[in-house]
Amino acid sequence: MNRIISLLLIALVFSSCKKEKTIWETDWSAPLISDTLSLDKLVNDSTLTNSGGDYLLDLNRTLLDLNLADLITIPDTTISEEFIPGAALTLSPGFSFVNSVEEHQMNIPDVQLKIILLKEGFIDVKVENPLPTITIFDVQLPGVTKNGVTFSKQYQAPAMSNGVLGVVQESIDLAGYQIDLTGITGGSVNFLRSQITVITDPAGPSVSITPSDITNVDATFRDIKINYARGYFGNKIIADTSNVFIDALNNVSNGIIDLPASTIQFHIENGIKVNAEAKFNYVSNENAAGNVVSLTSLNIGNPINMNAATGSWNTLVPSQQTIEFNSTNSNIEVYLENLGANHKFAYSMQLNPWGNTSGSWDEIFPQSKLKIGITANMPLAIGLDNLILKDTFEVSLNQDPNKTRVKSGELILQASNAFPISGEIKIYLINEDGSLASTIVGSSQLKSSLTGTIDATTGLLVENSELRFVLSEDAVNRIDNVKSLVLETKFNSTNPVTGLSEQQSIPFGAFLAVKLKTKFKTENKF
Amino acid sequence: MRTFSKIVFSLALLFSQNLVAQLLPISYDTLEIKQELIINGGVDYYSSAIEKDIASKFIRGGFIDQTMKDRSFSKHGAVNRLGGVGLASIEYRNYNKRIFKKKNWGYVIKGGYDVFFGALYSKDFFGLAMYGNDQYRGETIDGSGTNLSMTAYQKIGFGLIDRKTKSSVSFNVYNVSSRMNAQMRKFELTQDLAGDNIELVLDGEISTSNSNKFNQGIGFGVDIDFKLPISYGKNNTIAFVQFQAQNIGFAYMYEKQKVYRLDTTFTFSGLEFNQLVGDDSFFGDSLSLLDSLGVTSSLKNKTIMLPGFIQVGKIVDEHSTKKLQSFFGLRLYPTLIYSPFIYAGANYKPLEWLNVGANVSYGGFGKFKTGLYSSVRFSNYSIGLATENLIGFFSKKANGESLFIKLRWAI
Repeated sequence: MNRIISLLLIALVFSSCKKEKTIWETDWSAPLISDTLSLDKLVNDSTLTNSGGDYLLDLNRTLLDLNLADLITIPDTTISEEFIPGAALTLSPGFSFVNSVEEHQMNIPDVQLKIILLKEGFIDVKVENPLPTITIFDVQLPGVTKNGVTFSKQYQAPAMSNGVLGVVQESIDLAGYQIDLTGITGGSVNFLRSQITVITDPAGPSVSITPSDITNVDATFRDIKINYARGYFGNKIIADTSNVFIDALNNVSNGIIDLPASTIQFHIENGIKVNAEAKFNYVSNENAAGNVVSLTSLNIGNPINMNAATGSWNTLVPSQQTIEFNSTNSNIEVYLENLGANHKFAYSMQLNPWGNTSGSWDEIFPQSKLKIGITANMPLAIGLDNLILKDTFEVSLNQDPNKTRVKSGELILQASNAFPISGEIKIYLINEDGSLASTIVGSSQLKSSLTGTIDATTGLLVENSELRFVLSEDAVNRIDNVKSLVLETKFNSTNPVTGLSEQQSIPFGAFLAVKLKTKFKTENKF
Repeated sequence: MRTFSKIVFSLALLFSQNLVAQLLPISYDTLEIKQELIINGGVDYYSSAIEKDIASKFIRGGFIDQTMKDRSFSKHGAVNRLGGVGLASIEYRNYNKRIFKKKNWGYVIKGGYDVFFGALYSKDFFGLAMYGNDQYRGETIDGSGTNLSMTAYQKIGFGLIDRKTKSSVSFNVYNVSSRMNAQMRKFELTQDLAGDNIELVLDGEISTSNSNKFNQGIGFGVDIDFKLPISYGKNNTIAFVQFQAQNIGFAYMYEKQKVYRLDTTFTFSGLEFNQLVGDDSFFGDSLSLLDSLGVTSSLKNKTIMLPGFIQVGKIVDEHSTKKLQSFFGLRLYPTLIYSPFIYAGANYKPLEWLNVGANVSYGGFGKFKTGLYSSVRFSNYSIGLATENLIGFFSKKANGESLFIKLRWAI
């Protein structure tokens, strides 16, 4: 009856008129991820070496690296000299009316320099002639020499005309010049000498000069970079705090890690011929739970003497010190096993801690550096006892119930594991308000390689696992409110013979081959 | 309920008159009349393999369960067809008004709404759509040669009709309101048994409307209906053969159609981890899934052929003295989706005001079908009901449903 009436209606109104949607279910499957994880892929700032078939972590980081340009800077400096006659005079041709020897202090903070050698830089010279005749400027900088020749330049300034001064300007490259900053007496520091003479044109007319006629010479040193400096570099203190972040450890939420005996070494290098004193004020790390562990040792907080470098130029030998923190002189294992994600290193380096003991004979060369580096050597043997890593991903999984949608499904993780570590994986679906919508537990463990068999290709113990994560219809129905997904993995390094959590060496070339596939049922609505 | 349905259907047959099925011109009245108004409507869908309980769900809605899918799936062969038509028309014929003085021709004004849809597809294609790809692991899903087509249009027409023979020609203007066409010359989806790798080979084209506008294209076409008397036998008995062509013409889609071109071999065995993150990740903004699949799209104006048909057959003479007459014929649509359709049947006229008939047919969108009709005449009015798929009324296992109604007023 219904069929007939329905068909009649269809015929009469000339069109179909659906009261409800057509619905059917289909089953789909597809590969999602296929990849092989290895430590070579994961670790990009460390060196992994093969030590007896196992990995050895050789980590190097530089905390401080200062060179000559960072330590000594010469600011731009202008030497300006004005010459004003005391009374009105008549100047005959070739008359020398300026003859001046001066010294000028360069503003170099905290440092008393006697000699500098310029790597690059310029001097901009400008002379101004107030007379109605040509004048000849002779500019000499007696302490500024190159290959033994003193800087000397002569400028012929045009006559002043119609009230406009006769001006000459020039820029000169100072690369390779040496500057003696001992002043006129030879015992000063940071002082530059100049000698300037000005004569009228020998072939010109006699001219008058009055106190209002000012003869001017400007010499500006700019963009100076030095190759070498000698003097007293002051009682300078360089202090800083460096942070090293290991983001992956931010995901550790619980559990215990057991690491083998490890060492951390700090390498201090002084490439300046100046005595110095280094000090580590503190070293600490903070883990994801907020626990802070400080490294304790006699080497923390106490000054470490650094001798001056020896030699010069090509024979320069920096002074070096290595400060090692190991399990006998520090709490290094406790420090590392805190699994801190944020490591803080506070340090200082003081130059000339006992004053000017070198007689202003501190020297710095182009290759001179102040460096602090850190090295960690650790066999990659790791003991994990229910170590839990958690990571959160923002997701938007809205489905319209009136349209085709996923009704249920499962993720299938197939893994070949060559790491001696097992894992239990859970996925938490979190609502927008933070409440738990669903928990999806892996059907089995990601098995440790210790229960596996030798892989003929790699020669490593490999164990295969298949984990299924079932997304039930009930979980799917509640998925609209899910705004984040928490992936939690609990790791263990259990010895299959003893059943105890023990340190396990990571074999060289260890890998985790992963295939993630999906199967899901869709409810198709048309 | 089933008994009640049969009673209602029987009553409908009893009171119907001058009945035709969708396109079967089963009776021919040569009496001269002045005017005639015919309202005709109906739907007919069927398939070579898909049973009614699935197909009807796509019309009336409802849940398609596993049993339904399994039953239809088992009926599928290598090549399968599914399709149907829906129509509604009104036609006014004036035999009294002569258009040309020297000719005995009246005129015809008609209007209507037609939908034609069809699919030529493989068993795998049905399986993929109904079950998904999971059951095909370790196999190749071959949907090559799949052809899908749907056109919905409205028409108005004007023509001439011979007062005596009722032969007519009308010229029609069409508005194409919706259209879709897909041709997959190559469609192969290969999966290994473990489901680790898939390979998709595509070569085809999909063209569909790019907007929801009611007016997508304009077309011009012709309807022809010639009835020719033929004498046969020793007594020179007269029979009538009808040559009919409907909606023969073309349409220009002035609204641009979205055309997807697929020509790719796409293999996928899973993403690597570095493809999951970063600006160039698989899910990043810079990546287009269609580009990755080698699918290009463009907007084009297209000229299309209207889904018209040609039919030739012997028809029933309304004024024959015989109570039992035969009819038979052949129908052709110019598309591979529709195979040549042949039909044959018998008309029985027990009373002057009553016609009943039955027919069998083969081809079209399906295979063997049976039809039944009846028409009843009351003075100047007549009404008819028909089905071209009798089993569809009684069995879920039928491959379609069909019902047409025709109302006629003639003086």
